[in-house]
Amino acid sequence: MTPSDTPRPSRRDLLVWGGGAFATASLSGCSFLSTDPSGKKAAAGDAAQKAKGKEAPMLAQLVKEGKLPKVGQRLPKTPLVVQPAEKVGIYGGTFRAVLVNAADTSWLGRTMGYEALMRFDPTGRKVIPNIAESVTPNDSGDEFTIKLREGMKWSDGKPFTADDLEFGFNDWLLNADLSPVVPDWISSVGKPAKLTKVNDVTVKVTFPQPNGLFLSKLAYNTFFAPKHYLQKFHKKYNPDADKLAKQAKLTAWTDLYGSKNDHWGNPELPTLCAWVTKNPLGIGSRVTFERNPYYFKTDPDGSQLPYLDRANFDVTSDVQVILLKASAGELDMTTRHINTLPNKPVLARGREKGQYHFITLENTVMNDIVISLNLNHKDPVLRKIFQDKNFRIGLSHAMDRPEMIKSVFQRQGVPWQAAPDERSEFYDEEFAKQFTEYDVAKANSFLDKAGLTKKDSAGFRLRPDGKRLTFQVEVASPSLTPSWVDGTTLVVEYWQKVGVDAKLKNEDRTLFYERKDPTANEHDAGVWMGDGGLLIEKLEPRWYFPFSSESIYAELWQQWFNTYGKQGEEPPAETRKQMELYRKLVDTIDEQEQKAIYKQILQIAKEQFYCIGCVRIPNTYGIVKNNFHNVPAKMPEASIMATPALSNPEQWYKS
Amino acid sequence: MLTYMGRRILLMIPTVFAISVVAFIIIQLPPGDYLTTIVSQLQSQGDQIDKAQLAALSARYGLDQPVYVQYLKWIGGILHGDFGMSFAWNKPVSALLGDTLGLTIVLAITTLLFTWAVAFPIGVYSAVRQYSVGDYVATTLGFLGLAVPNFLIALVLMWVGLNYFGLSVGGLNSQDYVDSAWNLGKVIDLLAHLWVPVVVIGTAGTAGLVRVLRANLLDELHKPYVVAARARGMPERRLTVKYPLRVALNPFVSTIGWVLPGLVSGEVIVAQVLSLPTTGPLLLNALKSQDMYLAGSVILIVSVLTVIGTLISDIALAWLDPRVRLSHR
Repeated sequence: MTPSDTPRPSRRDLLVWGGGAFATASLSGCSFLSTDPSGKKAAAGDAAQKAKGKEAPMLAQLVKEGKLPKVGQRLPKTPLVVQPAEKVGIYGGTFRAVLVNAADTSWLGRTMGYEALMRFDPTGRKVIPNIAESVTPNDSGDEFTIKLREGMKWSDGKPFTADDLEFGFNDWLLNADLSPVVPDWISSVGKPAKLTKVNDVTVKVTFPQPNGLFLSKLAYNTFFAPKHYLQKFHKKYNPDADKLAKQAKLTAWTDLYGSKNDHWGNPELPTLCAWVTKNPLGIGSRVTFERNPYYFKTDPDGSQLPYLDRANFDVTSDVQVILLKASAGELDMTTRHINTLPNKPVLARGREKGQYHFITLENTVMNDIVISLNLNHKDPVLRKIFQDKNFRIGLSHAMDRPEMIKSVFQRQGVPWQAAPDERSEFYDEEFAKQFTEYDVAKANSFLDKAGLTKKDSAGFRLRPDGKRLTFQVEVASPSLTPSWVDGTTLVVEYWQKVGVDAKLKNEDRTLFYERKDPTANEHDAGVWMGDGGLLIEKLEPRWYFPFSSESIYAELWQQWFNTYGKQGEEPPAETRKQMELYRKLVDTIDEQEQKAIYKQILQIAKEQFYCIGCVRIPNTYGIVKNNFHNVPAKMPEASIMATPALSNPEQWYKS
Repeated sequence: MLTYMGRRILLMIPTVFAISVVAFIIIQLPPGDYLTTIVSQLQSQGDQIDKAQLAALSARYGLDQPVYVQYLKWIGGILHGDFGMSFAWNKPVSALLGDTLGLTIVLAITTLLFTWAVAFPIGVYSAVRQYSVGDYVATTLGFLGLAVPNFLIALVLMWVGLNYFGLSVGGLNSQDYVDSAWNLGKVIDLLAHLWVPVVVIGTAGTAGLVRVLRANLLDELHKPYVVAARARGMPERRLTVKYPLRVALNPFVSTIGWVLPGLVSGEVIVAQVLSLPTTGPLLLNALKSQDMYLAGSVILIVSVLTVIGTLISDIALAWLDPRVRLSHR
C-alpha cells in the first residue's frame, strides 16, 4: 500500500494525543511523531532534479555549501570516458532492484560493485583498462606494469595510489592470517607473484613463470584496498588491532578486518565504485546506495557519472515475490533469478502492465545439463565401465533430446554435447553434434560393445562381476536451473530403457559438494551447467579436461593436475597431454598462439568424450523498464563478466 | 502455589541447557559445515584449495575443534551476553537478532491477539448455537483455514493485493518507509501492512481454537451443574460465561506454551514467502549455510520462549482450574 492510502492522523490529532510531548519532540527536528519518511524527499524530488551539467545537482549543492571540492578537483587528470549504450543521459533517479536473501551479494557485485583494474567491454569480446590507465606486459609475459590514473580518489576524497595496491596485495591477499588461500590468479606454478612499487601511480607485478591469462583475470579479480582506512584494523600497522576487535565483540583482528573490509556490510569502507553503500546489508530489509562524489568516469560531454542518484535493493526471500514485483513493474532491470524459460510466458504477459521489455542475454553456458560419470570411481568395476568410451557413447545415443526439448525446455534449445557454442571462435560442429542422435538400436550396440551383454530377469544389464549395473545421478538442490531435476528424470528413464539401471538422487548442494570432493570421491555421477562455452572458454575449461574441482567427471585427475602431481591420481596419457598443453598456453602471452594451443586441447576433449551434454539454450533474457535507458539490447551472460555490469551501470539513466 | 512455581522455574534451567545441547548437535549432524559453503564459492570462481589451506581456514573459524569445544565456547559466550559471530553475515549474532526479534515479537503478539479475538466469540457462538447456519458457516471457514497451507494463502493474498489493491508485495513496510527511521508514520505504515501476515499465520490457529472451544463447551453445556444453575433461574448469558465457559477455556490457557514458539517458528514459511524481516528466514538461511552460532542462538531463544510459555500456561491453568491447583498442594 502506498503511504497516501494509509490513514494518517492530522496535525490536530497529534496535538491531542501527544500534547506537550509533541511540541518538544518537534522542536528537536527529528520527531518520532512525524509521519514523513525520514531522511530524504527522494521520491518527490526525482522529477525536479533531473538535469544535465558537469555534475549531479545533489553534488553541485554540496559544492555550493562548501562541503565538497569542485568537480574538477574530484575527477582524476584523465577520467575514463564511457560511451553511452544509446545516448547521453540526465542526472537523477533511483535504481530499484531486489536480493534473494543475504547470500545474494553477487547481484550487488554484478550491479553496484564491478570495478576492477581491467574490465570486459560491453560486448564481452575484449578486455580494456578500467581503474588502471594501462596494464602493459613485458615480452615474455612474466612482468606486468600497472599504471594508475593520476589524481584519482577514493569515495572519501583520499587519494588512490600505488600504496593501496601494495597494501591489498602484500598485506591482504598474501597475508596468511587474512587469506590462508593464496589466490590462484596471482600465482604461477603454485608460487605467488611479487608486487613492487615503482612510483605513486605505477606498480610492477612479477611472476616466477609467465602468466598469459593474467590480463584477462585482472578483469574480474581485484587486489587493491583502501590502506588509509583499513590499516587501523591490520595488526601489522596497528599493534592494538586485537584490542579493537575485542571492543567490537569479535574474537580476533582478522575478524575485525574482515567485517571492515566488507563493501556491503560496512558503509564506512571507501570505494572506487559508482555508488557507496548507505544502508548496509543486514540492517533492516533494504540495502541502499548513494552516488560516489569522487567517481572517476565521465560521459562524452565530460559530465561526471553515474547518472542515477541512488539504488535500493529490497531483501526478499522468495523468488515468486520477485516474479510478482517484476510483473508489477517494480524492478528497473533484472537478469537474475526469474529469467527462467518457464517464467518467460508469465513475464511476457505482464509487459504492458509492468511497462518493461525483454533484452537478450547471450548464454556463455554451452549446455543446461552436463552429465558426468565419475571416471575415477572408487569401485574398480564401475570405474572400468565408466571409463569405457563405448559405454558413454551408448548412453548418449539412448537420450531422446528432441523430446526433452519439447517437454522440459519450452521447445527452445538444440541437442548439444559439452562443446563450445556455435558463435564461439572454438566452435567445432563435429564435437558439438557427436553421438547426439537418438537411436536406441545404436545405443544398445555400443553398450554391448562395452561388454555389458548379460542381463538379469528384469532386463537390466549386469556388470562383469555379475551384479546389476546400477548407479545414481546426483543433482544438487536448489538447482541452478529448473531443468536439472526434470531433465535428469527423463535421462534416467531413457537409460533404463536400454537396460542401465540409473537413478536420480536429489540432494542438498552442500552434500553434493562434500560427496564430489576429491578427498571423498563418493559420487557415481553428477549434473551441472556447461560453463565456458562462449567468450570465456580459455578461462573456464572445466568440461574440456580435468581442470578444476568443478570437473566432476575426474576429481582425482584434476587434483593431480592442480597439485603438480603431489596428490590425486595420474591420468592417462591423452589427458596428461592436455594438461601440458594448458600449462604451455598459460606460459604464452601471444593470443594467436594461445588459440592454436587451445584448439589442440579441444581436439583431445572431443576424442576423449569425458562427459555427456544434453541441450544448449543459445540465449536467455532479462527485463528492463521502458523508462530505463542505456541497457544494451544484447549482452553476454557470464558471472566473470558480472553481467549486467559489463554494460556500465554508471551510464544507466531514467527518463 | 509458590513452591510449585519455584520448582517449575528451577526446572527450566536444565531444560533449556539440554535443549541447547541437542540443538547444537543437530545443527552439526549434516555433512559439511560453513566452510563447505565457502569452498564451493571459491571453487566456482576458479580458485584451488589444498588441504593445508583448508585447515588454516577451519582454524580461523574454529571449525577444527571438536563439537563439544565449539559448544562450550558458544554457551560460555552467551553467559556473558555474547552470542558469537555469524559466519555468513560477518557480524555478531546479537546485532542480527536485535534487528529481527522486535518485529517477530510484535508479529507474534498481534497474531495471538487476533487469533483469540476471532476464535473466542466464534467458538462460543457455534457451541451455544450448535447446528445453526452460523455454526455451519464458521465451521466450514474454519476447516478451510486449517486445510489450506499458510504459504498458499500468503501467495494468494499477495497476488490479490497486487492486482486489486496496488499493494507492494513483500516486506512489512511500503517503499518509502523501508529505510526510514522509526516514527509515527512508519508505525502506522507497519500496521497497514501487518494484517496480511497476521491473517495468514492466524487462520490455522484460529480454526483450531474454534473447534477445540466448541467441542469443550458442548461437553460442559449439558452437565448437571449447568442444568441445576439454569433450573435456579440464572440468566442464560451469565450462566454460560460464569461456569461452562470457564472450564472450556482450559485448552486456551494450556496451549499458551505452544503458541509463543509456534508463532516464532510457524511463521518461517510465511515470513519466507512474504519476505518479512523476522527471525524465521534468518533461522532458515542459517541452517542452510550451517551458520551454527546464529542458528543455535535462534533455536535457543525459541526454546527459552517455549519454556517460559509453558510456565505461564501452567500458572494460569493452576489459577483457572482448582483441580490442577489442588493436586499440587
